[in-house]
Amino acid sequence: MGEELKIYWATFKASLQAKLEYKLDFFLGILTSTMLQLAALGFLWVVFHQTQNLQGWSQPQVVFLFGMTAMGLGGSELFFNHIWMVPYYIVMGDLDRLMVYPVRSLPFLLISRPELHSFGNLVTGAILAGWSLWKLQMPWFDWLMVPVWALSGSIIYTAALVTFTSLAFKFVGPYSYTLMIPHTLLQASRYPLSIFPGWVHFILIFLIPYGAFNYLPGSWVMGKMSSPLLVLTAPVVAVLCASIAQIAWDRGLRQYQSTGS
Amino acid sequence: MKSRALATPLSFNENLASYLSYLNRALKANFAYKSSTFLGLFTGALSYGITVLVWRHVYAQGGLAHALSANEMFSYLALAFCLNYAMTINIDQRVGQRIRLGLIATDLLKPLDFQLTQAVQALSDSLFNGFVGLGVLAVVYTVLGSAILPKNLACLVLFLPSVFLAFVVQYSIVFLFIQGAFYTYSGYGLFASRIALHQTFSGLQAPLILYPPILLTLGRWLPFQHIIYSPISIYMGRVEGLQALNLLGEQFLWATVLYLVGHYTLRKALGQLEIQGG
Amino acid sequence: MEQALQVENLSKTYRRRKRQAGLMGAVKALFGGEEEELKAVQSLSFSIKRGERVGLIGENGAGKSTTLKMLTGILVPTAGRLEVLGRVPWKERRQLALNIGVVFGQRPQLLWDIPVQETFELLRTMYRIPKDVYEVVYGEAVSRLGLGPLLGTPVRQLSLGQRMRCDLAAALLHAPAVVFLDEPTIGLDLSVKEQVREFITDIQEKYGITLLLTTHDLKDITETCDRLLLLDKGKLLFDGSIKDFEKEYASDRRIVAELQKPVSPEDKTLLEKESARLGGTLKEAEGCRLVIEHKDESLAPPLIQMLLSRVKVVDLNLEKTDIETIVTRIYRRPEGGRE
Repeated sequence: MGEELKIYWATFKASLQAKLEYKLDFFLGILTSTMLQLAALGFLWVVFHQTQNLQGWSQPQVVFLFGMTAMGLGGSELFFNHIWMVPYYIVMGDLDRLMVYPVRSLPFLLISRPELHSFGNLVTGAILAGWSLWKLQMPWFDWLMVPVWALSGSIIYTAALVTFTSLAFKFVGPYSYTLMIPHTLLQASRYPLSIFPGWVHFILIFLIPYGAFNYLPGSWVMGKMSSPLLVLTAPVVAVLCASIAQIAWDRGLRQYQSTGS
Repeated sequence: MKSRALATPLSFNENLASYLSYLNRALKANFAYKSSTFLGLFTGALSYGITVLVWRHVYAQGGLAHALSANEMFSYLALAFCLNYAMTINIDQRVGQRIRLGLIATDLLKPLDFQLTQAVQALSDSLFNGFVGLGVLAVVYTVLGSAILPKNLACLVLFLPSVFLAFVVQYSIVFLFIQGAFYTYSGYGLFASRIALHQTFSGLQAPLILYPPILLTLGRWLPFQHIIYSPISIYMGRVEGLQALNLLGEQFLWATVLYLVGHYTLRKALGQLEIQGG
Repeated sequence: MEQALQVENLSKTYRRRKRQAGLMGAVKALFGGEEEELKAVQSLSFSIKRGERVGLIGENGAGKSTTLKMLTGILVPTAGRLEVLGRVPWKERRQLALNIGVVFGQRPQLLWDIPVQETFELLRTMYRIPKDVYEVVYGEAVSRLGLGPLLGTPVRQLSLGQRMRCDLAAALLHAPAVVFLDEPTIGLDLSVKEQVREFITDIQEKYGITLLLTTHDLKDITETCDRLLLLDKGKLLFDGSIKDFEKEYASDRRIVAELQKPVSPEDKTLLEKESARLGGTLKEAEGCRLVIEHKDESLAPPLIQMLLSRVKVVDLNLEKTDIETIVTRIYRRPEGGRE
C-alpha cells in the first residue's frame, strides 16, 4: 500500500511539474476560476440587497458555505481533475493504456492530471471561509476543522463525478456533459439547503451528499444545529462516497472490458 | 461588403446567396449535434433552477418591499431564461476547433468576411436554440399563464429589433473575446471570464433594478445589460414609448461600436495567431 | 515456470447493436435494435514457453489485437481459458502487469504531458526496477533508439515514430518476463525499423524475455521471431516455426525470363514439354515474358539450362516465394483454410 502511495505521489509530482511550465496559462486559469467565484458572490450580493437573511442565515454565514463549496471544488479539480477526460477516452479507446500499468486504475487516473487553474477556487474558498469565521468570531476549533471538511468535500464531489462517469461506460458517447450535472448541482450547496424545497434538500444530503461538507458542518459552526456528530459527517460521508465510487468504477470498467471499445 | 481574395468584388446578391447558404449549412450542423446541445441546455436549466429557487425563497420570506412583485419577478426570470437560449452561441468552440485543425487559414482565404460568416453561423445557433427557448416558454406558459405575455402589441413590436440588437451585442462581445484568446493561447481562461461577466451583468439572474448601487452603476456602463435586461424590459413594458426607443438607440450604439471594434482588431489578432504558430 | 503463456479454446464475441445511419437510426437503436455478433476470436489454443519469440500475423480484423488485449488483461474473454505466467490476466491484472511489458502500436502508452525522461523515472518507481537493469535498458534504449534528443520533450509533443520508440523503451525498461508488442515498427523509417528490431532482439536475448509480436511487416517477424502464429477471422490457421511455414505454404519458385524476341507457338509447346520433363511447369509464355514454376530449388539449374539452350534470353530472374506472398495467397483462397 505504501508502495502504491509512493507511485501516486510520484505521478502527481511529475504531472504538476509539467503543468507549471505554462506560467501564463497558470495565472489566467487562476484569474478565471476566481472570476467565476466572484460572479457567484455578485449574485449573493444582489440577493442580500433584497433581503436580510436566507432562512435565518446572515450574509457572512452564507459566505461560509460559499467558501466551503469553493474549496471542495478547488481541491477536487486541483488533484483529481483527470476524471473529466474519461468519456473522451472511452470514445477514443484510450482507456486501455490505463490497464497496462501495475496500479489501481482509478486512483492512478485521478491523480495523473492536476488542474492548476482550480488553485484559484481553493484560495478564494479559503479566503471566504476564513473571512466568515473571522467576522463571526468563531473559535479556533472551527478553523482547524475547515481543511478536514474541505478535503472531505473534494472527495465527495470527485466521487460523484466518478459515479456519473461510470454511467458513461454504459452509454458511450461524447458525454462529458453528464459530468455537468453533478458539477451544476454543487452550486446549489452554496446556499443553506433549508431554503430549498424538501426534495432538493433530500437529494443534496442523502443522494449526492454535498450538504455533508458545507451545510451540515456549517449549521454546527453557526449554532443552528447542535449535534456534535455533525462535525464528523463530512469525513464519514467522504469515505462512504469514495467506496461507492470505487465500486461503480470497477463495475463500469468491467463492462468496458467485456464489450471492448 | 469587403472582398478579400478576389480581384472583383461580388455583387450584393452573390454575397447574400453565399451567406444564406452558410446559414443553411450551419442550421443542418446544429441538428446533427442535437444531443449534445440538448444536454448542454439541460444543465443550463438546472443551474437556472437554483437561481429561481433562491428568489422563490426570498419572495416567500417577504418582509422587504421589492421593486418587482413576485408575479413580475418570476415572469422576468422565465423570460430571461428563454431569451438566454437565443443568446447562446457556440462560436467559441467552433473557432477554437478550426484553429486547432488549422482550417482557419482557408476561412480567411475565402472571399467572404470572416466576422460576417461567423456571425451567420452564430445566427443559426441563435435561431436553433431560440426555438428550444420558445418551446420552454410554452411550457412555462402552462404554469405562469398570461404573465409571460408582452404587455401590449407595441411592446412586442419594439421587442423584435431589441432581440436582434441583443444578438449583435452578444455576438460582438464573444467575437472580441475570441480574439483575446488568440493572444493568450488559452481559450478557457477568457471564455469563463466572459461567462462570469455575462452572468453578472446581463440581467440573466435578476433584473438590474434590484442590484446594489455599485453593481448597478457598473452594469449600466457595460454592454452586457443589453443582451437580456434591455429586451426583456421592453417586452414587459417596463420601458415604453420614447424611453423604449431610447433604449433601442443605446443597444444600437453598443452593437455598432462593438461590432466595428471587432472588425478592425481582427487583422492584428490574426497576426498574433500566426506568431503563435496556431 | 516453463510455460509463459497458455491459451485454451479462447473466444471473444462482441455483441453490437446494428445502427443505421441518421437520426432515425439512432432513435431506433435506443429502443433496442437488432443485435449482431462479431466473432473476433474463435476457440484459439496455443501455448508459449519461456524465452520463445513468437510472431502473430493476420489481416486487420483477424483478431490479433483482441487476442493481445485478452492476454494483457484489458479484455475479458467470452469463453475459454488463458493463463500468462500462471495468472489469469483479467482477474489478476495488476500483479501480472508487474511482469509484462506492452506496446500498442498506434495508441500511445504514456499518459501524460510530462517529459520522456520523467516518464522513465516514474516507471522506474512504478515497476520497482533494480538499478542495474534500469541502467542497462535505459542506456541501450537511449543510445540505440536515438532517444537522447527526446528526453526533455513532453510525450504529447512527440511524433508517432518518436512515441513508438519511447513506448518500446518503456515496455522493456523493467526487463519483464513477457513482452507483448502490437505493431511496434509502425510509422517508423526503414533504418529506424532495423534499429528497433536489433534492440528488441538484443534485450530479449540478454534477459530471456518471452516475446509475442504482432505486425504487418513480415520482416519484423523474420528478424526477431522463431515461431509464427497465423490468425484469420479469429481462427488459428498455422502454428509452427517459420521454416515450417515456408515449407508448408511455399508453393512455387519461379524462373522469370525476358526474351529477345516474342516466343513462337512451336517454342512454346517445346518448352512446355521440356519443363514438365524436368519437373517444372510453364506458367506463362506471352510475348517476350516467360515464367516457369517449380517446387524445388534443385530443379532450377537444369530448367535454366534447358531454357537457355532453347531460346534467346535477355534477362533472367529467380523468384522465391516469401512469407508475404504466401500470406497473400492464403487470403486469396476461398475460405482461407488449409488445403
